[in-house]
Amino acid sequence: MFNKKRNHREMRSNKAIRLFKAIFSIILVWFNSNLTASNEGKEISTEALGKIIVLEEGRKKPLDTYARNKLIQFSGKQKVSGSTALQWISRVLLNPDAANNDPIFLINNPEVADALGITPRAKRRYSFSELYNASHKLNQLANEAMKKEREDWSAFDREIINTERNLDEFFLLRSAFSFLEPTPYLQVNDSSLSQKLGLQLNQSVSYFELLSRAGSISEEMKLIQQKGIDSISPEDQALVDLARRMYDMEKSMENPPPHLIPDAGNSDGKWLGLWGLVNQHKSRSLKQKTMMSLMQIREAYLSGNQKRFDESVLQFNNLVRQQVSAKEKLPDPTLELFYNKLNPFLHAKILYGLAALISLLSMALLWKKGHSVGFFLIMAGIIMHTAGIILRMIIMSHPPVTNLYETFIFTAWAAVIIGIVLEWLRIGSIGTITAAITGFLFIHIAGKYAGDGDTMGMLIAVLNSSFWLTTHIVTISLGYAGYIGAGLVGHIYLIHKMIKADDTEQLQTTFKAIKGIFYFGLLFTVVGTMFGGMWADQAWGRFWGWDPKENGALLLILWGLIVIHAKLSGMIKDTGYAMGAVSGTVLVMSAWIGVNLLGVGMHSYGFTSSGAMALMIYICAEVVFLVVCAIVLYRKKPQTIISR
Amino acid sequence: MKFIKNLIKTAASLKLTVFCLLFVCILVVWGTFYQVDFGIYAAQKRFFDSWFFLITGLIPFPGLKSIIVVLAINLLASGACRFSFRMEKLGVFLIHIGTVALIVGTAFSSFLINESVLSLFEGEKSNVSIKSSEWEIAFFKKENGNLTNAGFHNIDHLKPGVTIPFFTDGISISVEQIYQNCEAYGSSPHKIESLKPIEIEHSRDKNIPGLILLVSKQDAQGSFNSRAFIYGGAGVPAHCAIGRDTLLISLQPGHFKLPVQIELIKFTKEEHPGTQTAKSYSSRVRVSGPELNREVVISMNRPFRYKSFTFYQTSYSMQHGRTASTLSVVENPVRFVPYLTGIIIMLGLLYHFIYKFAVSGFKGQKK
Repeated sequence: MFNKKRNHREMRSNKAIRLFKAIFSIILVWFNSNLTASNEGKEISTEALGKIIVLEEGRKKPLDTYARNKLIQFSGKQKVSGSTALQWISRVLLNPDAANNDPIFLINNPEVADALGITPRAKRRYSFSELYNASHKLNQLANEAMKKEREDWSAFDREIINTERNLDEFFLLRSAFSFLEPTPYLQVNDSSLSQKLGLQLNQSVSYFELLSRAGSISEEMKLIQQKGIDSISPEDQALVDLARRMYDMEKSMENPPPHLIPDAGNSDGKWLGLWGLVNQHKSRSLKQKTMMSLMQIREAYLSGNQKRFDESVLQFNNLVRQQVSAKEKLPDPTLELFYNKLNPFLHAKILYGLAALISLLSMALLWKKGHSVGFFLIMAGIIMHTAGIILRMIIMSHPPVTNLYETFIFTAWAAVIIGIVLEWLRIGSIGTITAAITGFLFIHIAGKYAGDGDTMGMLIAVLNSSFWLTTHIVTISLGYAGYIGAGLVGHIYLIHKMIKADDTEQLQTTFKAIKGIFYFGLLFTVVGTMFGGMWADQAWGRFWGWDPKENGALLLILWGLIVIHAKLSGMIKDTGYAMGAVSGTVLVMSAWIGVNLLGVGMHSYGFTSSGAMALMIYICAEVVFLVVCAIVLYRKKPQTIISR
Repeated sequence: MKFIKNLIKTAASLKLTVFCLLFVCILVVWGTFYQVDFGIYAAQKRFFDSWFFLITGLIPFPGLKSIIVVLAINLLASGACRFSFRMEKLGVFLIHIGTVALIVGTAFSSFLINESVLSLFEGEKSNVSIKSSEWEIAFFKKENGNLTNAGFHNIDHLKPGVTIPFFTDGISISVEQIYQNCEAYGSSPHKIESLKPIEIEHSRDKNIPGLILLVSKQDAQGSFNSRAFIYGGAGVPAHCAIGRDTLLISLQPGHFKLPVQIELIKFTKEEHPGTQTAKSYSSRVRVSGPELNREVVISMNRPFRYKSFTFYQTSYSMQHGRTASTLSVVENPVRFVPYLTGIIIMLGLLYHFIYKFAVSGFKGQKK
């Protein structure tokens, strides 16, 4: 009998191991395919190009990161028409006409498409060709919107302004090599001047070609300046006119991004873009070599010569290294490229999403193994999630939380850890569900903030303190995670109670979990707020200033104290406590995102307009949920909510 | 006796705690939204720095000060009625004692704190900072071509009819009119001829006050009267001739005498490469006083402390091609209070959490 039981257990255990092995293999194959996925297809492999360092918003980053940020900014996605961001930006920079029809401009509001006279698309993404034809209307609408005060902008105005900004940026990107394109704007219409400069009469000329004759043009201009106004010939007039057009063109394309070449002569640390380089390359031999290597990269790309392309990129990188000033340091892009390829948060989000789905299904269908599968997926997700946070910390040499994007990533991580601890304590299956749902949702919300620019942006002076960033922001994020975790378990408790009010034992266990996590949230919110006060005292000279963000944190503390004291005094029972925990999540979201929407106070640096509507919908949904719970539970047993 | 018992019972009640906390919540939410239209200063005055305020000018509502007093009484009464020292209650004890200390300390420090601002160009030195939240009248007497300072007077408590104490013999100065926010009219800033009151702004630093003063003098040569129009935005003092004397009167932001002299040697602003975003800014200053004379670097998140004074790097400005660094100066003899009480509360919370949940909370949960 005993052996039979043991054999049965062994069989079950072997089955579980086989199941885990199978899932693990699938996950490994999936990650591996993502890591090795590169440039299959017709296009040349641009992987080498991704290692080129770009200076943007004060940070030196690989072109691969720059491309990803730009593509997310324009389209909200990391890929376009099956191309990676790097393939796309290579196309834009090196062969812009090939990128004209890529649907990359995200316009959510169909009224904007109507106003621009383009056919609204279901996928809401439009190409440069489409928008370029409507650019006149777009400029007009954007100018009208810009006349209004920022707070008076409607959703339509915001979308118009955003679209125009994106189109302008894209235009500058695709103009990187435009000095090589012959343009009628620079054509010479005077026969003797065309002969003198060795150019064909009435034919389009490129800026670069004219620049190669800059010496002759300059000499001729000096001679003209010495002449009297009456002795200026039509040829002289044509030369002056040509010089003016060249100057205008140089001014209009002063130094557009991407900035790839260090400029030791520039005191404010600015780097040169291709137009900036082309105007300097004649004067310095190193700059000339750099220009040549960039043109070789372009030629190799256009001719599809992979070997020459890789060699030219290597040569360019070597030339850049020679031009970096002694006090500047060129970062090694290897780790960041690995981080980009690993895409840890996207993978963690998918794993958490799957875990949530499987765990909920297993609860509904009473499928016990589903819970184990869900937990395994959570563990795989948390490994990815942790790896992502650690990689970012190493790359940026900063604590894990420095901006709104990272607060969501870190809070998600802390909430998942809370869920895993609950699982370890074996409090039903709430641990897996809490971890999976919070992990998935908060990484998803973080993704919305990624569209605002580089998520590894540089820190403003007041935030540039690793000690206070670690102590204050990390602890307050842990506090948020606690409140959110308690709120989520609160939801589970209330739903469970509405369905199965007599399952006292399990409800008691769940309630204990709510209490523990809620207290954890209160503890870290208090600690985080205290540290925040100390930081404010160090930076601004006052411990407390009634700033909206400070008030948000205070509100969370007060709410925690109200719920705990109301329970202690007997004013509320377990159900009331659970409802208090659910309300806590509403307050967290309001303190976290909502106060930034007010646009006042010293903490409004985290402001983004996106998410205001989502926040309102969320708050309304929670209020409806609580009202429904209160009605249902009050009908069942009034004394379970409020003490009499 | 029963009444006192009931009173103590009510004062110590946890329900009272909950109601007080709910009221604080309401004030915090209300005060936060109020800031959107009226600014932080107005919200602070109305909700957090008041005993009571009126809703729609009629219905009284308790301000934070009243609620905090009730909460402090509630805490003390609750402690007196319920407290019995046990190790498991140590955390709760620390949390509550820390909270009482925080309330008392904050109330106490609000009377002692002095905040001012010191703006210096490179090479400039000063031992006087400016209290931009306060206005004062400065009197100077012109005698034999020399100017002598005849005193300063804070305008906060002035109202029409009040006589300003003035230590020069024979001259009496009284307030005819005072405006919190006004516009000045006249032929030049030296010669203001009338003041027109305008709507008071919610943000205090947007208001420019003005005063009409009656200056009288009585001596052997007779009695003299003169009216002086003093405007905060004039930039130059008003000249007031009275008998043979000339008084120069100006309305200026309050001044604050520092215990040390600060000389700005160099201001440095470091930017992220290729941007105008400040990475850090710092001021190298020479601090000289009776007990020290040395160079100090004051930067963001790294203030300089001297006795009860703290000097913070606040901002900078460019004027006529010169850089001026602005330092905030805070005098707070009890600035350790929030740190100390904060640490006590945090330790209490941590102890209680570990004891309640980590040690005993989930006992028996693991199967």
